[in-house]
Amino acid sequence: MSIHQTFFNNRSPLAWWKIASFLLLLFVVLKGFTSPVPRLPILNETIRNLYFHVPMWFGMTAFLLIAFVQAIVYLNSKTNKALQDFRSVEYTNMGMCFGVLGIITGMLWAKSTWGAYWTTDPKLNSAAIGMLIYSAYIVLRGSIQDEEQRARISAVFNIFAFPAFVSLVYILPRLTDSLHPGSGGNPGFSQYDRDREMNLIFYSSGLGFILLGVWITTLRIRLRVLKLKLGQRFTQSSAVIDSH
Amino acid sequence: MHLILRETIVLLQKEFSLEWKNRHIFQSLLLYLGSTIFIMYYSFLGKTSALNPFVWLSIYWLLLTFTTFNAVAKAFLGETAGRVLFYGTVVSAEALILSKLVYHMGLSIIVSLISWVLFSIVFDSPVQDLALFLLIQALAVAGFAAVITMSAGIAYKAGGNFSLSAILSFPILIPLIIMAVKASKAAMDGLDRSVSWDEMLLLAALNVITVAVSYLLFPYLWKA
Repeated sequence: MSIHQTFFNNRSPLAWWKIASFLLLLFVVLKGFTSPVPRLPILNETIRNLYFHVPMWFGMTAFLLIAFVQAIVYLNSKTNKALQDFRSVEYTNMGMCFGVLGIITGMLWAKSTWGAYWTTDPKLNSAAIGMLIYSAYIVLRGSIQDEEQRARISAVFNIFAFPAFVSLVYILPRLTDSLHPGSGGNPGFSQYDRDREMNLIFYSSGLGFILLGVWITTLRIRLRVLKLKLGQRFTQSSAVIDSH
Repeated sequence: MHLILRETIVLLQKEFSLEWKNRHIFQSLLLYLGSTIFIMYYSFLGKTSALNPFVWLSIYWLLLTFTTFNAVAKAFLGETAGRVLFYGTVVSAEALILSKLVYHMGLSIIVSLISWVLFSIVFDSPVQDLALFLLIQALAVAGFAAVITMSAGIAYKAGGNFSLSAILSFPILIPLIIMAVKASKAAMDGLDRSVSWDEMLLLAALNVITVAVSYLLFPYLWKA
């Protein structure tokens, strides 16, 4: 296999974006815990959680958006439908996974700055309700036996739920007072002296975690495709045995 | 487009005549409403004067949410497999969902007005700006009804499980409930009407989005 194939084949473990993800996250972990940060009251050293908590929400939104678009693609296409369904469900799963990680990192941060793991903060509760919406998606998929029906009905629900999710996480918290920076009169983080180095680490982290999520998701999609092929081969061979 | 409107009107007439034929469903809904209000009344040991306005408001919204759910979640339960097949040959899926949405949004507004009357008889109402309060309530329950109708359709296609429509719709209802409670709290306290303007606009926008998304998605759901 030539170098060109290794770097530009998405399936290769050495594809350029997988290496980029690894290097970006290595940079984030090394610099994120050691580089100097501004000394702010209450926040203190916990400001480093900015590199790990906020990118989770970037990731969750990106993956749920991909799942939403993929559900629309699924409903409108005639060919390759099983693969599109797998993409939609796996990106939703990855979005949920990032959401849970975002809540956990946020809870740890809240404990040390706001004084409690769980508060009435609207962003926190909206995120939890968003997780409920997508848990309903998983329950819905579990309750349908037929594969084609499951794919179609859950795609419909995914598209139906997305506007509610967006209004919950991005519109409602802006209308109410929030403990989070940037809403309800609190200053945004950009107003603190987030210097160039912090910005670099922050955006590398966002990009690195999204690439990592895409990587994991593509592996899970390939696993599903392999299982499907295995199932088809099994039914074919058993059909051959039956006919003999 | 004209054809869809005509089909919708015919289907609406069908909904009304079915409702009239099965009057017991509406009567049982009223009974549910009455029993729930009495449960609430006695869970406060009848001491309604001890209720502060905010508690009054929250149990009122609880009542509205669950009553609307009971009124609307049956939207597709009466449809037998044979009738679904018949619909497929004579009307479009768009007309079917439009008729279901319009009918159940209207029904839920009527039921919410009845809830208001019964509830304020038992629990003295602290509402100061009643017209605005009822307008917010109508906007909110119409939105509830739209979300629950579509969820009931999805649950129906997924095997007709009644509890599934609750699981699917309740998380999606929460943004509507948050805005409705905020806006109606302002109306209850008699604040200036401009205070609740943002929430009402968002409620209306969410209703439009829900109806539009249901209209676009229902054909895909229905042929599944």
